[in-house]
Amino acid sequence: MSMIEIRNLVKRYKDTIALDHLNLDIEEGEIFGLLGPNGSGKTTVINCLLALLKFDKGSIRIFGEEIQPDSYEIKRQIGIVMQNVAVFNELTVYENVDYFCGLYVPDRKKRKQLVEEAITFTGLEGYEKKRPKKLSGGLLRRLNIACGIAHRPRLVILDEPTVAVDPQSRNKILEGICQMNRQGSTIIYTSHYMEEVEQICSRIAILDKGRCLALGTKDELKRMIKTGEKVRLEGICLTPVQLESIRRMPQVYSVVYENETLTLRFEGNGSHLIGLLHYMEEEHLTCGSCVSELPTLNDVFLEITGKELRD
Amino acid sequence: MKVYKGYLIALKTNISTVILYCSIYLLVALSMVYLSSGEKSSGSYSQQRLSIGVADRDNSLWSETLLEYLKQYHDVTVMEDDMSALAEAVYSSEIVYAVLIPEDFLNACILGEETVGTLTESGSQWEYYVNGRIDSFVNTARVLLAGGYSSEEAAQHVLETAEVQPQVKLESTREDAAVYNVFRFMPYLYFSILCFTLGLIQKEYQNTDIRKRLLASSLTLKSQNIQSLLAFFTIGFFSWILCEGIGMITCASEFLDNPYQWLILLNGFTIMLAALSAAYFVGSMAKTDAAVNGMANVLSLGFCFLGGIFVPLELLTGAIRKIGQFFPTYWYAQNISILCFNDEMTASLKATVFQGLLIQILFSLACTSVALAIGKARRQEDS
Repeated sequence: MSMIEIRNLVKRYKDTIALDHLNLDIEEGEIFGLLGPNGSGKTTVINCLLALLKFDKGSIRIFGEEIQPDSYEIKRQIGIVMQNVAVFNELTVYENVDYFCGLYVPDRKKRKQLVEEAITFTGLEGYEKKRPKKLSGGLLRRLNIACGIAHRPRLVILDEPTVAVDPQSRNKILEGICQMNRQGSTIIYTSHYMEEVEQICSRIAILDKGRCLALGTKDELKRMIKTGEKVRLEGICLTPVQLESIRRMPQVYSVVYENETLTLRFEGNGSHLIGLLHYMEEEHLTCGSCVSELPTLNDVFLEITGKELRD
Repeated sequence: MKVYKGYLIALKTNISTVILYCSIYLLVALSMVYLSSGEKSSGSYSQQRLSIGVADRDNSLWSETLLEYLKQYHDVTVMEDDMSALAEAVYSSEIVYAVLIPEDFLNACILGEETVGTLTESGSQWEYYVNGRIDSFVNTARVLLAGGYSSEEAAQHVLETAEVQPQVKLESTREDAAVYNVFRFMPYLYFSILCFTLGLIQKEYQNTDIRKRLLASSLTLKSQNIQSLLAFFTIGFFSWILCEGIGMITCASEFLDNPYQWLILLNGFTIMLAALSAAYFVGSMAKTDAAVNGMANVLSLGFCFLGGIFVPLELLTGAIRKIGQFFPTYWYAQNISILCFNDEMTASLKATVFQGLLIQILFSLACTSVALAIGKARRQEDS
């Protein structure tokens, strides 16, 4: 049985369908990524998971039980890091973490230890007495995470925790998420940054317009699309015969030759660059530069929806 | 009790605001006590005897009667018929008023149209006071003579009228000006402290993300609401102890002498409830710190100016008084005035006081209901 089972979930905002018969299974111990552009329904899924939103149809089961607004036992085992920073400006860093941890852990002694661990984990040592207004954007995000994970939840939901964060803080946050996962927490991670999702998630669901377009590991997702490796050669002079020969090479999907720049797209997995370079050697061809790119999740999204992930 | 404690911890951040407002209030209250202690000596009702100099050029029955008549009200000194000496005496404050009785006083002034010669500081209050007495003497004499009395009989009767002393009995002889002046400004303290501090804290709790975050936790909604309510009342209760305590310490002896001290405290408690509800309203409506500051200022100053706190109720014009009646501060001010200036509490006064208390409580309920309704509408809009 999966840790989270979402079945036929439908959520409407007046005439807009936010979630359209969504089905998802999330297993214990994985880092599950919800990837999609803004407005694709990622936050709506999270809000439904936490029973913060009433949905029109379908069901959500967490830890084998149906989630309701008063499912406090289930909520006790969930840690949530909201998309917007949800901390009290009137409290210090320590007081904030202690406050949110205190919502789950009444024992003061145990809580003290957990709060200190969360502060260390998020690298907020030395900032304990500072108020949120005095923190940088990155530190504020880390405080937001510390508040969400301090009680050591079994399931951690992170809703775009790296928005407007500098690269250094972003890396620290991503490392922390992987560490939490290694310590036993199941993670649901939503983002519209495909690099992040690719980097940390074991399984990924691509959402658009409230529907799950694709689901699987990153390799599985990439295998789903026709487009494979993309090779771009600049400063190359080709005769029509040579161009035709290249076009007839195995697994070549598309060829574009303009202004002495050749762009090739291959089908399937693996690298085809070596084969191409061999052909160039045989034909005594030279080029100014050569770039080979394997497909990304953006390519997956592009092929499935016909638009860029960040459109 | 984490939500409850959260309010109290957050209050710690705003303690400087509380101290600032209490200091301002203490300064104003002490000034008021000092000023009201001066008011007490000059505010009592007693007949004042002025030193008057009289120069008699007539030396007749009627001039002597006027002399005797004036002696019953003032300290009269018979002076020489020398205008410069009289002027000198007035100038040197030896006397405050000089009367010059002309020759043939009866025919010239009582039966005729001439006036008695006088010399005093122009426009002074004793000018009106003594002139009134002389006019009263002349008018009474005219009436009696016209009525057929002989000069002797008329003179005798005029003197007898002066012996009649009006008995003025005031309903209240108590004037707790110090208590009034100190406790009168209390609503400003309540509204400022509670709207600024609790308004800021409540604004945070009303923040959509924090509200969602709390709803996502394992703390029940009922428990959250109860803890918030408890925190509001705790902060309100302590602010009541603090404010009333400052008031009591500032005019301790006068306050302890007041027979309605418990009603004064109760009046303070009801206005505290009104301020508490206003703070909830501010916290529910405002989305930024600046908005909290703005709303708190508008509410505290507006309520106090229009409700007769800064400007006594008697000075408010009809329209403003009517508007003021919508504010709890108006009823607070009316109650504090009744409780400080009445020795005996008649049934109607009691009814007025309790009506005032009730209106303040109703205002609190109405304000809270409006804030709750708007908050609910906003939450529905958010979801």
